[in-house]
Amino acid sequence: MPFRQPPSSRPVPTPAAKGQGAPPAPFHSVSQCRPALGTYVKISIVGSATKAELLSHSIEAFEVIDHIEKTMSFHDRDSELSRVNRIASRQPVTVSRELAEVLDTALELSWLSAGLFDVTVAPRLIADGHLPDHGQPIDFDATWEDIRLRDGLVHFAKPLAIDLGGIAKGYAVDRALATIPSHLDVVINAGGDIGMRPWRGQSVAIRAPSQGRRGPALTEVAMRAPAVATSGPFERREQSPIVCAKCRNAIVVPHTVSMFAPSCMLADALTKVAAICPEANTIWQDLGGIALLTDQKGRSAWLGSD
Amino acid sequence: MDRRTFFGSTLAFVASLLFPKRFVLAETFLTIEEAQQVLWGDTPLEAITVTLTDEQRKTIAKASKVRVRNKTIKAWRTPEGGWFILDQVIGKHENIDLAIALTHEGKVKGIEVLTYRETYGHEIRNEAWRAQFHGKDHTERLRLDKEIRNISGATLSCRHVTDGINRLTQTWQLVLQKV
Repeated sequence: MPFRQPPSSRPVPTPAAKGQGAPPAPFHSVSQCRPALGTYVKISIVGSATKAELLSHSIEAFEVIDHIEKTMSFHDRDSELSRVNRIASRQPVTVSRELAEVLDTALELSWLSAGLFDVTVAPRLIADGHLPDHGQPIDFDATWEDIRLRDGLVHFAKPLAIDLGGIAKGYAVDRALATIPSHLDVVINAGGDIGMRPWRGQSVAIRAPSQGRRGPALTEVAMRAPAVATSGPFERREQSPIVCAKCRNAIVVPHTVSMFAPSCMLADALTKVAAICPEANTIWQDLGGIALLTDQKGRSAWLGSD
Repeated sequence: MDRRTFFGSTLAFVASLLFPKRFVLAETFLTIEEAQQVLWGDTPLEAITVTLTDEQRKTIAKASKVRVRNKTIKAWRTPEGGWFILDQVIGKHENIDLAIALTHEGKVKGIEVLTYRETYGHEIRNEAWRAQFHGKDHTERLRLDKEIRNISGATLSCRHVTDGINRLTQTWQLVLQKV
């Protein structure tokens, strides 16, 4: 494997150290990729620091991602989420700050979207084989309104199962990004859920669906916010992991829907809202979201904005 | 249209069907040496190449339910019997290069993706679009690293890595722990 050329050959002006201190550290970059969150997570950090320092920041960010995955995995029977799903219908359960934060945002989005976004659609996803069946009783009529969250305590009014598959990946990206010191440039891409700093003037390529024997097309667009997440296309109902919370059926998403948003957690969740109901643009616009549709030929159109 | 033009364009059309325009985007991450440092720190590593017999490949494939494509395993061993193994799994269409560390008990200690490849229908060649960002500080800085290309799409599963890990832990069970 070839060594990558560190970009240090080009002198980069950095803010001078205060006083007559040491000259600024040379400029380096590190890109690391690990399987995590069920996909490939890539972290790229660029800045005025040694390669070893950048790498240790990157490793720390991956540790944060691993911790969030262990907390919020539906697949893992031993995760904190699975424990909550098992017992919260019988008694209130104290949850970690991370889980409370994600649940709080999820419930707020459910309220704002009048239930279009709902983390209790697991039964449909289990039936379609997207999620494992842990054998616990689930009331199919339960909705987000049956989840009570107060002072870090969660209680279910009906037996239900929370799946954070539509929001936790974005949250993990946000938390990992926050661990990287602010003077470094960083991009975290968790299988298409991207958070970056700085984002102005950056671009992102949207992967359009495959066309026959050709690979998928890529369309480059300018970043419109610090984060972006993309859903779809899911042309067949049985393939689709996006469930309409109203009719409780998996939905067909003919285009890819990319959501630019102030945080990756919001981008991740709001892309599902836009996929389920493209007309509900006021919901994401009020939260600073901007939606882009991309068709099979890679043609893009902004959805309900401007 | 004369006959020659007709045959020419027919040939071009058939060729475009047989050999659709595609390109492979390869993103490289850590080097082998960097991955060794991340996974094993300063533990000394001894390079070992293990060649699997056909019989061993069959047994591993049966136990892991994953086909064993390569006969040769490129690996390093720690004094305590831990392993650093270079491996390839197939992603959606292309090979993905991995480095995997196994403890002396055959448990996965860590995984690093070294090269990630994906096939696309066409490459972005929008020079005018790119030009608008020239001279902007942060953009320029990130552009220094040509490998950074951020692609957003529906999540791609890393199931093949899980299969690859199953295959390698079985390989450890049947072969490596006895080397």
